[in-house]
Amino acid sequence: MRSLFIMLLVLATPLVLFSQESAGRPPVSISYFSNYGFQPGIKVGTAFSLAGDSTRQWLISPQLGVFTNPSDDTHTLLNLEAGLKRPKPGKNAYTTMAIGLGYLHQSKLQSFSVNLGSGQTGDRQRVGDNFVMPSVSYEYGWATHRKISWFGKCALGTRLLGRNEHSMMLLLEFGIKL
Amino acid sequence: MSKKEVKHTRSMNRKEFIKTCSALGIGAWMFPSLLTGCSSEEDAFPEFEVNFAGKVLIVGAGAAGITAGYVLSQYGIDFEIIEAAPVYGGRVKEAVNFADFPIDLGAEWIHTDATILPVLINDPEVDASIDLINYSPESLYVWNNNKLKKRNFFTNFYGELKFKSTTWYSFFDNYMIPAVRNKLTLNSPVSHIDYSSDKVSITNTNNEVFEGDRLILTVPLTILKQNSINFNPPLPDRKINALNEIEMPDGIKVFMEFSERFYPDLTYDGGLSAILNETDGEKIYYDAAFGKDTNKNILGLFTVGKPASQYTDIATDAELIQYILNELDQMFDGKATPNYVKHVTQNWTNEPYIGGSYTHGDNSSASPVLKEPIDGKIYFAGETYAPEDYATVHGAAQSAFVAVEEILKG
Repeated sequence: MRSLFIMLLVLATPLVLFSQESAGRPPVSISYFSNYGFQPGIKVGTAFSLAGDSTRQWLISPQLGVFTNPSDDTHTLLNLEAGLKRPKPGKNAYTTMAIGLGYLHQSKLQSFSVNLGSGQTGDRQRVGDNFVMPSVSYEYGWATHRKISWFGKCALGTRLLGRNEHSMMLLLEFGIKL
Repeated sequence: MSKKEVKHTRSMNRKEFIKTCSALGIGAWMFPSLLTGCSSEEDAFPEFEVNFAGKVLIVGAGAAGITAGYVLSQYGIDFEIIEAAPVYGGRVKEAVNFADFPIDLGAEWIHTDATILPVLINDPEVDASIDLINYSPESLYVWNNNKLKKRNFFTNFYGELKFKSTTWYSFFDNYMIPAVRNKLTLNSPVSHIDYSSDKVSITNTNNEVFEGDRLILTVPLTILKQNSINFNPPLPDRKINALNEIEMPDGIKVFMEFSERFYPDLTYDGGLSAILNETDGEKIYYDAAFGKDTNKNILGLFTVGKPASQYTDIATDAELIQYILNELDQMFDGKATPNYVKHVTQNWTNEPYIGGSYTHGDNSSASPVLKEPIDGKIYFAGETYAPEDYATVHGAAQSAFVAVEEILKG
């Protein structure tokens, strides 16, 4: 789990630096990423403009995120969203509505042992499951600098086609775009 | 005895889940980790001050009674456990021959951190481990108004622990009973307790008399409420009033084997309101083989309180299983009866010397009175008297620690 976080941070850092130094390059986002607000995680992503004008822009956005419930499970999400970004006239703000399709991997703690003398836990057995997750999302962002904007995002998805039954997910994000 | 500190992070369990949601409303569902997911530190392996050298009588060999004897043995204090039933364990009981894994006929879930187990063993020298299941269901349905509805997203908010290839019973049997077995008298229902003198004297229904300096009373609440034991002098009025404020309602567990699995991990009866409000009791059908090393399809029925009475009142076991199969057939499109193999029933309401499930409902006003010792001679332990988590095995065992500590303090 820790290595996943580190990997995402390592991945995000050069992208952020690259983005800051390259005018006109796609923005890089890094955010707090959570299922229902309490399974904390991190997500990095970018977005490419496909078409549009000053009032609307069609985007496509690849993202990679991970969130965890420390004593239970960890989810890794590889997601691709297509959306419509609408800048708010006269404000440094925008909204984006998008639909997404993602691959979701769940690694769940199945069992573990506890030592009756020391209380140490170990021998953690995990089980994996893979899902496809369609989603819809709404994002609100505002720029505080020419190259920096903050955003909050809410996505509603359903994990499908796994060994476990489908289940609704409410994915919340708060982060920065550079 | 050395002291250690044990750290552990845990998920919200069912009881906490219900309590939290009831107390804080639906908003709490969004941030349960803020409420219960924090790390907790417990001061494990306590060292008690010892100013007592007499003999302690313990009435009842359930989780609290066994633990009390076990802890007293660790301090070298003389004790004797008197149990009414022909077996020890009380509401901790197992069926070893029903499936290819042992089944908890009584207490089953571990409603707290895994580290409670070494805390109860209270011996850092023990070199043994127990495998536990992360009991976090993936499929959760509700049965409401004769409709079965998927509510899988609720599984995000719920998780606790269970034993993987052992049981609560075997936990006590393996690690505590060896220390108390020689001090345990079975088939000895206590009918009279006399604490009018310096000593405490108890008499069983065979007119055998046991004498000690202190008494730890661990019988279920129902036994005291039914006046099954005669006290001399009588229990104080405030104690009797407190007893009358608390209920120990009906309870039953039924385990069924099916040739095919047709049920989710967890099915709540009564809709989401039943999950949020357990005032009248609780009823679930659950995959009892969840996380176990087995290919058997074992479905459990667990119900306490008002929902349990419809089952505990059924006269015969044959009628009971037919009633349950009919209900499951309604829920699961007639799949229960054709796949039924066998079942085992544990009716706790009809169990001699038990008479119900466990302490139920809000006992915040009565609980402090019930926990009070009488005349510095009679101490109380059991799930009713738990220092924190009443209605749990670990709560019962922890109450034994409290009683022993008070006695040893002198």
